[in-house]
Amino acid sequence: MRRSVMRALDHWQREGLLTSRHAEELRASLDAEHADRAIRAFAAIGAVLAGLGVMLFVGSNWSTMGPVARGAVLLGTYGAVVVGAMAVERRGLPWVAEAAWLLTTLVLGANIFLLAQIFNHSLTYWPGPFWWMVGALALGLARQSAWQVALAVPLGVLALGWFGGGTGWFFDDQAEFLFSSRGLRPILPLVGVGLVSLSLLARNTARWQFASTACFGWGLALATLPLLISTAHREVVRATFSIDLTLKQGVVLGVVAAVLGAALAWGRFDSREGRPLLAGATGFFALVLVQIGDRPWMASDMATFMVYVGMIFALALTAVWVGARAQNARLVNVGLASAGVLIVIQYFGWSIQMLDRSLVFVGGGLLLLGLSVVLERKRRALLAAAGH
Amino acid sequence: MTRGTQAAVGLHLAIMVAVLVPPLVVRATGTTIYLETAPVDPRALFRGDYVILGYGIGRDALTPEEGEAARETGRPIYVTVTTERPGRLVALGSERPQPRPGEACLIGRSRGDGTVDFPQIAQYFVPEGEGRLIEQQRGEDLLARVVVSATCNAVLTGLEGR
Repeated sequence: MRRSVMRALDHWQREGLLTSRHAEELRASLDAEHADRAIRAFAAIGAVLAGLGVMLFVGSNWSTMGPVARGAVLLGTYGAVVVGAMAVERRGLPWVAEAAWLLTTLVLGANIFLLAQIFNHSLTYWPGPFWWMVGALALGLARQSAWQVALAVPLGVLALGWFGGGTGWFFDDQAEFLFSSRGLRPILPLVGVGLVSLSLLARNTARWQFASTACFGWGLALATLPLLISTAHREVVRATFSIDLTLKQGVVLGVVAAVLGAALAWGRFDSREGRPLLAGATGFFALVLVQIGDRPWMASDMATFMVYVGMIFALALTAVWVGARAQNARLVNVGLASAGVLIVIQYFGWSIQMLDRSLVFVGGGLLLLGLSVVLERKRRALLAAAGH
Repeated sequence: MTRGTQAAVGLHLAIMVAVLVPPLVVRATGTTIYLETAPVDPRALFRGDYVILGYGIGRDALTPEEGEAARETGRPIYVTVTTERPGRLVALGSERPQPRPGEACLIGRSRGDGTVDFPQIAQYFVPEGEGRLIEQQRGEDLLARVVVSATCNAVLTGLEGR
């Protein structure tokens, strides 16, 4: 950046827009800033090294410390991070300050589990991530920080997955909420719809607008990824969307329906097509859960599976179109990426069966290269037309 | 720091303190019992600096049908034991009992195969490197010292030889 500024100063001087005296004054101020920056960099490196030293000291002596000493170290660490965040903020470095406050929330999470560990109190079930999420949301609301919400959302999903007895109580099934038909796995796309709906409602209130971007992003991810993964094979569809429909799943779906209804009624959409897209996508995600026998309907035979894949492809392209009309770059990017990934998955899924392996990889490589060129051009054209 | 940020930091501190309250209350007001540890099937679950503990009183405590039904509903199972060393199983139930003198209760969860586990006291944090040795000692020779409250919540306070 410094070189660019110097070149700019030289250019303006040649153009007669700056006198030589002014240019020298500006160069001198930059040099002072540069020297100051070097000192600050040394200080920052020193702080990091000191911090690492403290962590190593604590780690190597942790087992010999009593509960009071451990608690004091953990609370002291949190206090030090807060003081550091305040100091950075006072220096007028907003981005660094937000990173420092995010670090504060990360330290909160670590402390929740470490403090509980002192008394062999297990918090790897829902209370730990739940209280961590509450802390993140509180600081996010106070600072209007999207970063805090970006952390809070997955913590909330984790707490939701672990909430309720019967599953996730034991160490060998703590991931059951993700991999079991009784957990969140089959309804993740609808949980994503809930998050997208929350983001649309948040945009309506000045106080909660900061939460909109993170909720939208996480919602898109949860809605998209399980669908894309399931297009790999009929058995993957069955593994992903087989559902036992427990009481907890029903309650979650009920809450999602309520939030969706509120979003369709009062949410702020950027285009007329947004509402039909959200409603249509939700209907598709719900349809995906219809079971025939012991498996989802689209895993019944090859014909219905291909219809399913086609519907997902159409949904991806619709998202691109709606995103372009709403000038929503994220929706365009996700739609294009989803369409691209779908094409690649289908290519490898079919060609491995039909072609020699070497030809598969040659073709796959060429496909990826061609696809990346086409998609990137399309993405830029759409975003340019949308004003980004 | 704005007032909102101050409030959020205050909430963070309150959360960290609140984490300590339940185990401290149980330790201060509860009854100490000793439970035989049991190997946790189907594999040794050594994870870094803590050990996974099962308990003899939970082994085959339910029939498979009862166990599956309990797992389906997800309701806790209240286990009443004696305060002898080691404690003996007295009763199981889905309602919180009123322990008599010389008895205590703790909350368990069904695995679905007839085994009842106790998640609140299932892990014990040990100095680095000692976990595997302790896991090998699990069984009748290794007793867990547990403090249980009147509401059947439990805190694991240590491991002892028989």
